[in-house]
Amino acid sequence: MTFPPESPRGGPKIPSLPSREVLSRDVWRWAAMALIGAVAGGAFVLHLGHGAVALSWGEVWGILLGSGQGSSQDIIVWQFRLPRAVTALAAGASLGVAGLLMQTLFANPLAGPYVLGVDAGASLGVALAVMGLEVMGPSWEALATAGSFTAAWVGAALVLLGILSVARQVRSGTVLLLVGILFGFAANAVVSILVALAPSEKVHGFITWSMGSFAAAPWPRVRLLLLGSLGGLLVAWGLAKSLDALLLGEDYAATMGVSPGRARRRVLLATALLAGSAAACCGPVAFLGIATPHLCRGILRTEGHRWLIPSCAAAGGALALGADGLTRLPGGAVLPLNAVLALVGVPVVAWVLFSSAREGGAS
Amino acid sequence: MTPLLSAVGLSVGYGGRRPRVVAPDLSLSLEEGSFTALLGRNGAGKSTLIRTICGLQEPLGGEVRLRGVALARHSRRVLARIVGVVLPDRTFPRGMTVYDLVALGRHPHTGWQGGLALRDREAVDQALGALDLVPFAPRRLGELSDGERQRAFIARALAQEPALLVLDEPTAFLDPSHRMEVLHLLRDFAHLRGMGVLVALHDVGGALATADRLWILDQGSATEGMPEDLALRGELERTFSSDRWRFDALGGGFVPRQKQKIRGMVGLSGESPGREWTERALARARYAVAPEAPVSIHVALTPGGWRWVLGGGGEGFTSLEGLLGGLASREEPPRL
Repeated sequence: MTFPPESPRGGPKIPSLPSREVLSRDVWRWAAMALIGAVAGGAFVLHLGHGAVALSWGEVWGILLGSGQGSSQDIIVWQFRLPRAVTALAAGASLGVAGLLMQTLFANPLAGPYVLGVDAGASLGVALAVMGLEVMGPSWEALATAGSFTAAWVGAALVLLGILSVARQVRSGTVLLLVGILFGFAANAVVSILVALAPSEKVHGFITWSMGSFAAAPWPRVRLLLLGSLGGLLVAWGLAKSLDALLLGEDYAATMGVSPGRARRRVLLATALLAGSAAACCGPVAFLGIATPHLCRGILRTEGHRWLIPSCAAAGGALALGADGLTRLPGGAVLPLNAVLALVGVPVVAWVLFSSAREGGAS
Repeated sequence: MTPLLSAVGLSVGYGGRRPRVVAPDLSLSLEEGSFTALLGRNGAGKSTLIRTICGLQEPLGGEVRLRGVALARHSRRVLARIVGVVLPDRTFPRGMTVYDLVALGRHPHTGWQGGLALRDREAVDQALGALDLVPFAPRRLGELSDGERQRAFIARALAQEPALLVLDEPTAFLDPSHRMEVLHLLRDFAHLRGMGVLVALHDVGGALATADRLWILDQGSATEGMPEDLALRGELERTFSSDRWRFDALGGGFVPRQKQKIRGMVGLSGESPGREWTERALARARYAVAPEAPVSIHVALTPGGWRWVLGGGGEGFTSLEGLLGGLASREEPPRL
């Protein structure tokens, strides 16, 4: 179908200004995205050079290229610093994108893997796996790792399914948040009971894990985290267009050629992979998921997912690396990761809450 | 020629374990270039029919056909290129810009990533222009008034370049002048671009003034035709009148069926439109106008404005309010 050259009201031919204006804004968005990526890259490098043992950049670089094998510096870089930096980057990216996916899926600016109990669901899965595998006999490291990741994915997916079924019956975003918080309480209660019943030497590792930390995990775990994150990010990237349509609600999405059911299932899969992997490797990490998407929307001034997915991944990674750096004070004291993240995240969330309440409600 | 849209023995309603048919066996059609309004009282099934036509709801029987092909045989994506929709949802992403919203209309035409080609950008610009939204393109939806936002959603559907535009209550929440503006715009789309436009409306007056054809849903059955034909056949009156109010299609309003109690009779003479407005004011104050009434009023336009003279005493008034006061003061105790 073609448009007549004139507007239906007989006015003069309309200059095609809006698109030109938007294209110039797209240039700025590319620049902003490149900047966020550069910040994440810079944070990664800084993170590698930062630690209790003083190592110069040259030394770190040399070790990464393979010099000084077997030395204590080699062990520090390869077994502690690199896995820790990779963990923070991957987990941060995963949580940032998981938060974005959940905010779109539930049409709720305050959704995120921590707030809606997805982390708690993953914790429950991990607790069951850890305790179960311990009880079954001598722990087999590879099996325990794979088991806890699988359990975290399943736990995250189950909580997401539960919240989704509530969301389909209750329209209010506030009720949804409260239900998510209740899911979280329930899952955490079961975890505490499991911990109380388990032999104390078995639970020490679990309790440290449940505090949330990027502290160096063994490579097999980091590899699984990378696998889950990359898989989740790929699925999310493939969904960018459907997610844009879902912003208008499922009915509109359906009239735009998107199958809402299929899109919903895929978003759920991606979110469970991302949030579950991060939780399995690092424990519950607060605020990254909820705050990162808002930060990126504010910087890029767009709701388009093909912009937001890569920038949330980069910004989430950068924030995670920065927060992890802040947990290690110069004197050698170590702060809890979630405390540092809360200090950054609470103002962002409060700002979102107030501005959406002023504009007529998050619900 | 096969019509653009037709319903053939279509039953609409809600499925599930206990299906509820809202309207059975509908047969309706809509041609290209026709602006058709779907009318009906609350609960007649307007929205259900609209949702079924858009493919958001399965028919309980019969089928919807687009250019003679059953809706169910089109894929969602193909359907999205033929039918553009404006739903009555009141939720929207507050931070999205008008441009991005309208660009979402290109969704069925773009590649897997949704990037806009030059052709898509042109369509978006044209849709923005057609709805006078060019200056609003960078604004966020949360910053717009209801009317502006409604126009943005219509522009989104237009950017989709559909052959059929379906709108459910696009003028709810709009003030009367914006309501008329939107209806005229939709009519222009149909007449100047050859689109089929189907719009479900509460606003009977607006539909009568603008629509080429009407679909009327009433108690499970449907009638279609030109508004004037339907009015002459008494279909409009039958659908919209209630026990106590009769719908007057020509006057576009409702007239009470019960005889109103009268306070008195007056005679009225004078020039238009003063006479008509005076008659209205008198009717509201429960005076009936009759030729041989004991009191008579004459209305005339003088250089100083409208004047009323009350017969049998020759009192003059400069406003209707004054005149009614004068009438009341003369009256014997009211004969209610």
